[in-house]
Order: sequence, then structure tokens, then C-alpha cells
Amino acid sequence: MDRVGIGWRRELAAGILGNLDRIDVVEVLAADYPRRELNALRSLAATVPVHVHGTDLGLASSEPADERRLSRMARVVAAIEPEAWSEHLAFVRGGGVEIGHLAAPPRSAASIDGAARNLARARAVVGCDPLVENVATLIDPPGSDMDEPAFIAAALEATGCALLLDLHNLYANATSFNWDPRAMLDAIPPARIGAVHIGGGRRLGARVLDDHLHAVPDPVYSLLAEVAARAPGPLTVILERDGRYPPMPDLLAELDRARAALRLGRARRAA
Amino acid sequence: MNPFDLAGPQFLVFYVALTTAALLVVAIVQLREPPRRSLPLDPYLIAYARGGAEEAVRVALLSLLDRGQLFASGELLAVAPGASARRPLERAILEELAQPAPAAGPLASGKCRAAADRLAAELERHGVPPPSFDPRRTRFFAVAGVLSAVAGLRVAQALSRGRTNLGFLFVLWFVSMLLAYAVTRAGRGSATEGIIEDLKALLGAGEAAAARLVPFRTTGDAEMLAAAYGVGLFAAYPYFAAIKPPPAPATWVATAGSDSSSCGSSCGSSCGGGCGGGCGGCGG
Repeated sequence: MDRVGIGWRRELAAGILGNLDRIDVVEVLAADYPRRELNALRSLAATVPVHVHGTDLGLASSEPADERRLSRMARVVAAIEPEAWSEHLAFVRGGGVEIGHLAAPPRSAASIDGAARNLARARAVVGCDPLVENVATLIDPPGSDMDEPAFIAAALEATGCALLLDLHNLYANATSFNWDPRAMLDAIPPARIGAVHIGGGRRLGARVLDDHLHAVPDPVYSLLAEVAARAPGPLTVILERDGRYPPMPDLLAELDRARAALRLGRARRAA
Repeated sequence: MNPFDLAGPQFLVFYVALTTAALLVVAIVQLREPPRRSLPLDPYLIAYARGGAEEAVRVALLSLLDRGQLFASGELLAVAPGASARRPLERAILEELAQPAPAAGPLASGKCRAAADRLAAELERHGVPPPSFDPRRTRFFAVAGVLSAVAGLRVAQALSRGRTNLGFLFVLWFVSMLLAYAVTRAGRGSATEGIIEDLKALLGAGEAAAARLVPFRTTGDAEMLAAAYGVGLFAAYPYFAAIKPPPAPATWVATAGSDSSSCGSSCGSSCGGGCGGGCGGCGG
């Protein structure tokens, strides 16, 4: 059974808790939560399936992942006992300098090797594999010798992890660099898609910025239907929204649209 | 050894030892408390756990008003044409308000209270004791009772012997009461208080969350906030005058930090931090 949920944000908390009959799963960001908040999040996880999402481990890097952050992730996962945890195929530091941003790594064998090492370490510290997420980028990563679909497919192969497929990131990169987003869906074994992110962004000239501040655009719903038409197993779809929060009915309507896209894709698959 | 046979200074030492031992026992009991139970995030159940039947009815009134199932005319509430109830408590309220009446009607109605009181059975099913039960209070009175009884007996004994030099004992008794209060307060409160604390930690500052909502366009969010913080959060809403609660009396629980119906204060730090809005691209 496909499920549709939303990213947990304090500003949306009342709306999420008040509408759990329409929200199947909640994604909580990994952070240094005080004990009381961890207790509360554990209560949340007892009520609704929870995923934990990391943003700063920097796994897709030739540099080792930060042990302190890995330990924090392990603490959060142990405390909340989520259904799954995830992190980006991105790097967040280089030469000891934090860049404060999820940056797309060079699409190269070295990045894949680094990701495999870091993910092995993450698995050892946290206790289980994360889902790994494709990231959006406004620049074609220098030092790349493969395209994004080939890079993601090779990273999945090398790490053994399932993919958290961010459809807005896919749409943004494909639009910004003028390629067909379905090439990614062709490159990835559909069974390796463990979960899906949807979100919104805005145009920056010819590029698309993934800012999570806008409604999900139509092409992302089309891609979601395409994923549902290909994926053999149940999908978990999570709407990401990080600011400019609309009233909850609008977000619930986006969840309903995602459900409709999933139904459409499933119908296509069954046909 | 009978402590009451001790001379004055020795008795004071005994009293200090007794106080220390009693507080240690309480502290150990508190440290060994089992993990708190969780409660389904049902707004009426939470409202009942926080403030009993009347609070559950009040939150249900707010929900019915915001969903347009009831409407307010001044302080009178009336059922909207075609109104429907989602829960037995709402049904009881709609039946009670078949004739327009102030909120006091359903709040005092036996039928509504009975419907709300059925939530108590549900709480019990989840292993949550009634909201009035606070183990900290029980522990405080137990420790304070023992220490006061010992001190009282000594005072009576001294007075019967014509001695009145009891100043140090009074000071020690007073300090022991303060310590007993502090130690028992540090323990976990009632199960319901813990559950409400968890909920408030998830929801964040109630006023800020309520300010983001639009009257008559809320979904279940207003109910959830009202359940955790009380309907007082919605004082600016057009129908608030009809459901306004009376000022809450100060109680042990209220003074301990669990507000009953007033707008809640801020509750903890950020949740879901990181990746805040307007950062100019998350890429994730």
C-alpha cells in the first residue's frame, strides 16, 4: 500500500497532529534534540510511522563522515526508533571547511568509493542502512566523468543502499541542465526506490532552485505517476516544505494530489 | 534506641539523618520510574486528560464552531443546518443545542458530561490514571507527613517537659519541608502531565502556532492546539466569547507548570531544525 506523508516542521506540527487520518508517515529531521523533545518524538513515532532524515553527514565525499554527527544520528535513531533513516548523496565539507550546504559531489568513481566507505561506517554506527537521496544542484559538479543517472545507479550498486528519490531535485537538475528526467528512472532499478520526496522550488533564469518554499509543480506529480507505474513495491512519498507555510488545507491538498498521481501510476502499471 | 530519648542536639542530628534518608528513598523511587506511556493523539482524549470532562466539551465546542457545525450569536450557540457529528461527544453537544443556548448548557449537561466521561474509560484502557492523580503530590505528603509527625511528637514531648527551646527544630522542620517539596517536584508528574508535556514539546509555542491558523479554515490543528493548551489560545476568534472558559484556579499541578486552560507558554527548543525557510536552496 502506497503511503503519503509530510516532513515534520514545528510550524506544521499542529496541522500534522490534527490530521493524522490523512497523513500516513512523518519525516523528522535529525538534530541535536533535547531529551524532552526526543521523548516527544518517540511518542510521535508510537502514533505514526516516522522516518528520520539527515542533512549534514556529507556521505558522498572522499573525506570521512564526521563521527560526532554519525553518533548524533545514531542517538536520534535509537531514541525515536524510526521506520527508516535517510541522508543525502552530497558533501557538506571539504578540507575541514563546512560549506553549510548540500553540495553535489563530482560524479566520479572516487566519490562513489568515498560514499561506499562512509555508508559502511554509517551502517556500523547507526545500526542499519540509510536510504540515500539524490540532491539538487545549480552547477554541474566539476570533476565529473559521468552523468547523474549513471552516478546514482553506480552509487546504489556500490553501497547496497536503497534510494530516496527526490523528484523535485530530479526535475530541477534535469530542467537546469536540459536532460530528460525519465533517464534517471530508466537507469535505476525500480525495486531500489525505497521512498520518494516531493517538493517545490522556483526558477532562477534557466535553472530551477530547490528551495522547498513553493507548491509542488505539475511535472513532479507526473514524475511521481511515472515512478508508481514502474515501482513493484509500495512507495512512501513525503512532501517537503521548509518555509512560507500555506494553511494546512493547501498542504493536505498537495498530499491528495500525490495520492492521485500514485493511483494514476498504479493504474498504468496494472494496465 | 528510641530517638525521643535523645538529648536536644542529638535529636537534631537524628532529624537531619531521617530527612536525608527519606529524601534518598524518594529520589531512588523517582529514578526507577518505568517509561511513560504514550497516548493516542486524539484531541478530545488529550483535552479530557488535561482538564476533565468540561475541558473536553469546550474543545469539542471549538471544533464544531470552527468546522461550521455550530454557530455563535453573541454568547448563544446554535446548530447549523445540516450539522453532523464525528464523535459521540459532538453528537451529544449537537443534541443539547437543538435549542440555541449558551455554552454553559452543554458544559453542564449530564448527557454531554456522560459522553465526555466515556473518554475516561479510554484513558484507563491506555493505562493512564485520572488527571487529578499526581504521584509527586502523594510522595510529598508522605514524606512531609512522616517528618512533620516526628517533629510534632518531639515538640509535644518537649512542651510536656516544660521545655520551649525548640527554635532549631522548627528551622530544621521548615528546611525539611522545602527539601521534600524540591525533591518530589523533580520527579515525574502525573502521566497525563507527561503526555501533555510531550505534546507541547511537539507543538512548540501555542500562541505562535495558533496565530498561523485562520478562523473557519483550520483543519484538525485548532483542536490539537486547544487540546494541549486550552481554548484560550483562540481568544481572537469571532466565536471565542461563546466558549470562553472561566479563569483557572491555581492548583498544585498548575503551579508545577502544567497550565490548564490559559494560553501555554513557550515549550522548548526547536524541532525539525536545520534547513529553515528562505535559505536559498536546500538541494535536499
